[in-house]
Amino acid sequence: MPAFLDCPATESWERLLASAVPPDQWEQYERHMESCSDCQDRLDQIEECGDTLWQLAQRFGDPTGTPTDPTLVNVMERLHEVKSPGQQPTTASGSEMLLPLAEDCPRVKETGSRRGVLQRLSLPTWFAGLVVLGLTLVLLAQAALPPFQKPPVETNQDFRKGQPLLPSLKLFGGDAVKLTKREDEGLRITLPPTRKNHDAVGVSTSYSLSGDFVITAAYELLSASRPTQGPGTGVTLRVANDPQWHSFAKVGRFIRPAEGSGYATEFWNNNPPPDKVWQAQFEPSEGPRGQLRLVREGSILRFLVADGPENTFRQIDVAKIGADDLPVVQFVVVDSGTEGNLVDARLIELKIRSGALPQEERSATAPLPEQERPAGSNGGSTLVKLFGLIIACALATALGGFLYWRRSRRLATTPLPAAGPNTSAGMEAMPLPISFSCAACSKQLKARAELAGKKVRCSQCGKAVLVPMTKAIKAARSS
Amino acid sequence: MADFPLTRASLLVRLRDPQDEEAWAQFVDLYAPLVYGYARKQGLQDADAADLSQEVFSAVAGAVGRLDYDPRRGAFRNWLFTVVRRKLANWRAAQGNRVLGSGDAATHQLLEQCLAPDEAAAGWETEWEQRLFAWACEQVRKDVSASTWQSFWRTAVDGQTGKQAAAELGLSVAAVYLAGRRIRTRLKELLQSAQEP
Repeated sequence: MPAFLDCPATESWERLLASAVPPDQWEQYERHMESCSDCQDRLDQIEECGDTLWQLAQRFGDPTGTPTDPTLVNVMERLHEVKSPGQQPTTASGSEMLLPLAEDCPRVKETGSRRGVLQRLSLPTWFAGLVVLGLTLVLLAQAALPPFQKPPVETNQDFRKGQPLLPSLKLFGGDAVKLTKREDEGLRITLPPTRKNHDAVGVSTSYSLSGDFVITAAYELLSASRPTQGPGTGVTLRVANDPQWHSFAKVGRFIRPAEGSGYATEFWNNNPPPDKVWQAQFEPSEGPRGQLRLVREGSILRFLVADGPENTFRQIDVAKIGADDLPVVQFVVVDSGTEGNLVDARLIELKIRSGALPQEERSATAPLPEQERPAGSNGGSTLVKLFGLIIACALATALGGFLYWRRSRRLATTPLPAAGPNTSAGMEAMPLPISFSCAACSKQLKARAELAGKKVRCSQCGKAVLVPMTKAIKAARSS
Repeated sequence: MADFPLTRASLLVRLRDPQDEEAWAQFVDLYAPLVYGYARKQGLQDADAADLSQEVFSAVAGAVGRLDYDPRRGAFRNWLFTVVRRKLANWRAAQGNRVLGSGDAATHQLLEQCLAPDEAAAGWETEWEQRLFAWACEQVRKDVSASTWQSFWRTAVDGQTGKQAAAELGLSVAAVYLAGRRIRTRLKELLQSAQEP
């Protein structure tokens, strides 16, 4: 087939590259391309990579030519074994990775037949299982009965129309009286740049928050200087577990020295390591009005914001704050702790609900219902709850006893199988865990018998420790 | 900086199905190197990075069933970063605990490598971009020959002309252009596919 005498149009080349040219014409194009430098130049220009792709390729190079880290390959193989979040992984024997002790990583542990797993359980594990079972039954009983917790506390303060503070709230900050003004739109707080005292100014509760709670605060940030140092100027909702702020959390609308305008969260505690935590988030925002929300469910604290007075809340951070009472609850305006910063803001509304949260408020993004519930409405008969707990514990004990009796009888009547080395049947014949000491820190450890000869990670110091082979295991494996 | 796609919402939805092994495999392929690579760049040894990766994925596996994903509340990778950062902080805290008695200078140095939150987030974002690009390239590369891949890379990235690349690779000029176009299209599709609806 002859080549084209005239150069094909750019559109024709585009069709070719899009595989829209019939195969019988392909050769014609190919021959023309081989000999026509004009068309080659045109295609070189057409076929530029595109900005995004080119930038990525320039920055990171050709990733397909880079050898994969063998440890990463092992990690991925191990993670692939999990198969899906709902499944347990298969045995990791043969893997070079350290095997975690089962209690260190409950989702990634070895599987076996139901019978084998039951037989391998040690006595302490059985007791632990009973405790878990008992607690589960207690929780089920609690779910069926009215919740057994402190009566709810509610504070619904609307700062608009010059309304006075509720008795459960008080002004906060040494010069708060001088710097606050009741206006129709809310409680106006103006911190002048010449102020010498840099305490936060706003309101705080006169009581401690207990249990689960939702705090929602609406504000309007009228103006705020961008500080050159400190945590930022703006409005913040914050809680702490004691006046010394041993454990502290805040969510606020700030103008920050580095990041500028946006929402910021912070959480810390002063626990000794390794439980000491500090974390923070920042999300840019320009809106002057909005809402801040802190939600605690159990020991988890969620930080949420909404861009306007009506908008949906979105979670921007989460922290494990614990379930301690929180005597410090403040909705305040801050000046970044330094002189020269003007902050002008209004507190519009503060709603606090603690104690027994209704189901609809357990959803982190659910809006607070407007209706107030009478305090104590969630309380039920303590006697009924106590009775339920006793029933649950009795059931758990009876069930646990039955299961243990059945296991003991099965172990007594089941002969040791003559299994080959490393078979699962062979492992089932050695149900007792191996006790040994960590060579690095001397912690007493226990590992399942099938881990003999492999390395596990010490739960105290994290070092790899070889699980020793007992005589029984050696004998079983050599038989 | 390139405008990067978010995590595929469909993949996250599929992860909630415990029977969907393919979704989990895809998830691991995409994110495990990200977590591991980030940990290594934070100064962790390979074994520690491996442990941390496993802990992070255990946490994800435990939480993904409850994850009601809403793209308006932030990208999935940011949530994952929070998990990684906490695990990393725990690991560093544990190291700090040990170093109190050991006086190990190398460990002290490691602890001092803790980045400020902004730097850490920027590092994670870069790591994510790199991982997503590598993932897309890996997907394409396993379906094409070495010469086809090189046709793309040399003309689109290295700046060679089609004629130069064809001569060095022993292909026709038209074949070089065709291969380059196909790969480029596929890469863009893959990067696009990671976008949320």
